[in-house]
Amino acid sequence: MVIYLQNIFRFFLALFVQLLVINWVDFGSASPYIYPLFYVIFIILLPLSTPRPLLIFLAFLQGIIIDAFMSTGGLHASSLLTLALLRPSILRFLAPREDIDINRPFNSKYIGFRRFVTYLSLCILIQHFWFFSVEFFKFSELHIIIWKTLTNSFFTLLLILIYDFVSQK
Amino acid sequence: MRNILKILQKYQHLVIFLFFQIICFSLILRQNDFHNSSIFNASNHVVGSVYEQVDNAKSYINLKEENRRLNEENARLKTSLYGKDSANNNKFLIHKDTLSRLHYKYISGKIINVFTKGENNYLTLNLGKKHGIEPHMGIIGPYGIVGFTKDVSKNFSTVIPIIHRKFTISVAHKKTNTTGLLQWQGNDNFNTATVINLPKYITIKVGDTITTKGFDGIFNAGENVGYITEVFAEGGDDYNTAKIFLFTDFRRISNVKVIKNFYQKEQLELENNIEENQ
Repeated sequence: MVIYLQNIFRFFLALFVQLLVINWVDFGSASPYIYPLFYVIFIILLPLSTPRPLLIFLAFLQGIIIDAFMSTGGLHASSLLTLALLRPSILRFLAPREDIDINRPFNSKYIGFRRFVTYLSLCILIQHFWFFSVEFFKFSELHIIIWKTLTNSFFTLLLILIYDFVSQK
Repeated sequence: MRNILKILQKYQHLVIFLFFQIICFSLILRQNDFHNSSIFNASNHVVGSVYEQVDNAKSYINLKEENRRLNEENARLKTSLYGKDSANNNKFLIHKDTLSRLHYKYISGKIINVFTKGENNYLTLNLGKKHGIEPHMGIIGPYGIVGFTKDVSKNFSTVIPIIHRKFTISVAHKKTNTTGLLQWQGNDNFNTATVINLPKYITIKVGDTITTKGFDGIFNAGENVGYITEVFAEGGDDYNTAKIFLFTDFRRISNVKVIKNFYQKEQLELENNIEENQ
């Protein structure tokens, strides 16, 4: 039960922080490079036992809500779907011996800090790269896409680690 | 048959993924098409209401500054209205307007949400069909043009600002009245834009003002857009390209006016006829 409530809370926290905090914080002309897509935290930290179809559906649901608020069509939803599809493969890659109990809460304390950061980075990079590629849809501007992916991924990672740190207190 | 079902069951997540991904891409394409209204966007009633509530709370912070801006605009408009007449000393001249009907009407509204960090930025306006708003109506702020409306619901509408990848209108170099094309290109940020196709035979200086040309029926001619900060010789042998600094500060925009052009439909119909005949 607690785990359900936790995830529902994260769902709304992600929407709130993304739409009403991050979208407004202003860094002048550096803003496009300090624009973390924090909402990805919900899909990343969903319990490992979540069935794949449900995972994909939740990704679509959250993405489409953000898209509605930002008038971006299906841009955010598309990037979250890609992450949701690849998430089980990333986990299999990071835990080949399947030593993670899928029913336990998923945080840095349980699976180890280094593995947690690697997992987060991979997920965030995939989602961010997909997002900025589709947003530009022009591979002549690949250097901007890559640059934006890297800087924004870094800030997203930072925010999620802060969340992880605070939630374990 | 059973085998096909088995395979489908094994890869059901892939089928679901593709299904949703196709929906997403069709929504993206629909959103980027200016002549088509999209389904999920900020003109939605729920989304608009949320933004309106948040804006209500936020507007108190900027009240003083916004007041000053509007006052300044009033002063400028008064100057352009009365200043000229007294300068020419023709106070008693009767202006005969050949058009008895109104050409443009201004509706005042408020921008309740701004996003300036992406490639395809959108604003949300607190006016909708109820207030007489239609798609493709120009919007001007206290200092210059802002954009035009796209999706319109009963109470809200979304606005495509200058700082959107697909925004393009014809503009004029104010001193010589030569036409150029305003675009928002890859290296522009939230307060710059690019004017292309400025002919080489006119002299363009840094600091010159760019105004609207009024060709597309969205804006009236002579509205401020920005001033030139850099001139490049990028457009081949015949044309110059100029970087401009926009007068509108998209991060602080709040009170705006929507331009209703009573002859827009007629103009566009006529122009479409010509294109079809060719």
